[in-house]
Amino acid sequence: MSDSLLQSATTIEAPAAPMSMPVSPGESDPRREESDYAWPPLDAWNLTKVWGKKPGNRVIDGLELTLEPGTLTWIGGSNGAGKTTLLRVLAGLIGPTEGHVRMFGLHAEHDRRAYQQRLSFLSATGTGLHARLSVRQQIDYWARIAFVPRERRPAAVEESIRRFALVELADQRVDRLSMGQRQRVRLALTFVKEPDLVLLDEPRNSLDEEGTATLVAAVGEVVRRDGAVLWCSPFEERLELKGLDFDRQMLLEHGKLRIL
Amino acid sequence: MSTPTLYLDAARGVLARDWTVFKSYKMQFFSQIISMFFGLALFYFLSHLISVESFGSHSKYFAYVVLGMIMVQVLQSTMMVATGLQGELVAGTFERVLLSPFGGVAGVFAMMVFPFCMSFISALITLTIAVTVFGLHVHWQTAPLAIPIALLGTGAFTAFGLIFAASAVLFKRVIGGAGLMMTGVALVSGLYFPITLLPAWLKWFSNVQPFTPTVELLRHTLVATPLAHSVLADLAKIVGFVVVCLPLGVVLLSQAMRLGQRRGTIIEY
Repeated sequence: MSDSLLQSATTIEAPAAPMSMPVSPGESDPRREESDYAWPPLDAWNLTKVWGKKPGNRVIDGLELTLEPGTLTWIGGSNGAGKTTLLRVLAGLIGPTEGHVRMFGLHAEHDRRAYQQRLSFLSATGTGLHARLSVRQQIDYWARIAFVPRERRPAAVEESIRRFALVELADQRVDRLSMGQRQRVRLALTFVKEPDLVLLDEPRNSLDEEGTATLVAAVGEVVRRDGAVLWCSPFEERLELKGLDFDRQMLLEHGKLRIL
Repeated sequence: MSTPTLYLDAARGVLARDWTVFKSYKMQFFSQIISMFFGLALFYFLSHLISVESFGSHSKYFAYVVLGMIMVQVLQSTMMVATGLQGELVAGTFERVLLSPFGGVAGVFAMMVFPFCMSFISALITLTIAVTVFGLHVHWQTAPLAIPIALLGTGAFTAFGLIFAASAVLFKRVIGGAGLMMTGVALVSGLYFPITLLPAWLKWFSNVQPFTPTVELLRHTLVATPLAHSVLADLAKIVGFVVVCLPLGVVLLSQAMRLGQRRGTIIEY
């Protein structure tokens, strides 16, 4: 990993060139016109999120983050540090109070469709599944709304079922699965569209060893095809993740990122 | 694949999902039919009890009220999108729609398709029971015209569904509002009694929503109830509501979603 990348992730260093040109939503972005500037999978600068109007509710505070192609990044932090909020902002689910996020140069609001076609976000909550659908129906439904082309969809769904060891459960209703099995379904949903940027919020929730292995394999595949993966989990999990080859590890504290 | 095909495919995915969920509750449909039957029986006997001069005969009041009951079913399906959205927010499944290229607004539109289809099926079953069991006389010559009128009316009602969905996004709880809307529409749209019975100040409300002209035209085409206004005037009203309210509903819903995303409250429930 290059030094400039390390610097871009810290808050104590001066921002690198791409971060020095904040752009308001709707304003033309000078960097888009620079043909020699290749946008990374994720570029966030001056990112701030304040809940409500109290200054004390500043969960993210002028954060800078760049994810380069083919990298796996870990962000840890204590409960309530703002990891989920950060991921939601990066995913375009909620807007930042200040600052900017670009994914391959795309804006979450202005280029919403293209943005969501290339990004996948696994949230930490154990929800988000339709209880009465079978595993296969669930993945097929998500592949449809994720705009996986019709000709590729059946193969993508079956591959996802196989990859996350769901073959025997494929026709079972989701509300009859264990928590770990449900998490594997959620992982299958996350990876079925072959995203270029994957944001994972505590992805090992309820997973056993086999489930974790399927997750690691899927993450590796995204990294190998020059995508980027951001893995967020509590600080303590870092010790358990030693087998994973993270390109960068950072800690989210007081709304800012600190390189470990 | 072209963009419209992708959207169509996604909408079919939502429809298939809703159908699968619906048929997984095996007794739901049968209980709805039984409920319809009891509703029809109730008004059939009430129509024999009440003598209303303006209707001429008991069977004419029964025919009048059957169409009102059908309209209530369509109205309920309109409201269902908001309550369905509320349920999806709680289940966390709407987050997936928001995080998809299909998006929240298109997702809400797609969520309306299944309840509308079901309300049309329910309407057909209600009519069939009313004809075969309770002897309702349908005016078969003009009955096919009810289909385009119902479709046009659906366009106007969709706007109300979108506005309620926007409320669900912003205020999270819509059940009270939906109930208020249902009883309000039942009162001023002439679903169970003619609007001529209403005081003048309340009659105003009968003219500023699409339910009154839709139910009037449906009654006229299906059971030959005389119209209070001309066909063209009623049609113009419905088209006007579609043209004005549908884009308004889309704008309100997208603005509600945008606001929810900016505030960070979009996935709260």
